[in-house]
Amino acid sequence: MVRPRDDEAARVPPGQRLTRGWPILHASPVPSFNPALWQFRVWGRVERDIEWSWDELRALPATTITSDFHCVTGWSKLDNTWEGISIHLVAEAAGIAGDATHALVWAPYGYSANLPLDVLIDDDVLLAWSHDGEPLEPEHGGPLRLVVPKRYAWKSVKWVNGLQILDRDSRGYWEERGYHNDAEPFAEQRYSWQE
Amino acid sequence: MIAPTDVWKIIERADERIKYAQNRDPAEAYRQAREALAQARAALAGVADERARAGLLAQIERRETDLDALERAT
Repeated sequence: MVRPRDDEAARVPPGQRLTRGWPILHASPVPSFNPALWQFRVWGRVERDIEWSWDELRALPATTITSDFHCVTGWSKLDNTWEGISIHLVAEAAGIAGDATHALVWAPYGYSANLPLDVLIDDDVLLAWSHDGEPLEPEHGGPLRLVVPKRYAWKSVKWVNGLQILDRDSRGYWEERGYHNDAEPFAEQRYSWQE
Repeated sequence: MIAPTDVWKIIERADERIKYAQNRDPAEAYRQAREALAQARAALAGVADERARAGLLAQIERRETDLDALERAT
């Protein structure tokens, strides 16, 4: 862990320490990736279900976003450059229903995280396949990871393979295990008893 | 008497073992996680607030079930 420079200090949320590395942590084993079988789905409160293959997803227009990343275990990593597809593109392709309010973001081994749609469908959110110019390593969520910079990193689901659009909130994996439903780092929303 | 947050800190230690397990020796990490959960379970006896005790017990049991599944999958 390193001390933030003066120009970085305001970007490090309370209770966080800065790292120049990138710790690896996740609840499940790293899933295998077969591009021929991989599929990304969007379903639920949408006008059109989506089922994209890896090739179809990679053929979509890409975007690049630089953002900070904050893990609830206490480290923050600044200035990450992510490349992938904008969440706006996904939302437009599926057509979000008028009564939709939340999403559950899914990954293998039953992992999920929940987000309100106004947090999920934001300008800085993307489905990323690259980090700092390199393909996203499997340990960091490759081939595809959701990136939600304004929330603690467990909401940035590794190995993301589905978005379930809902007309209500439904807690995800860590949210059901005592962690905060909203998980906003600058409000230090770490635990469910703070709700 | 033990504060519920003190028991939670022990549960959180188990979570850290689980989260870093795949990057280390998963079997050893899961053993350490179970050890932390056993400590948390023992500490529950000192929590006076019945509702908090029940909530913490549910969290411990959920993680023990998670560990069963993780050990099968690893």
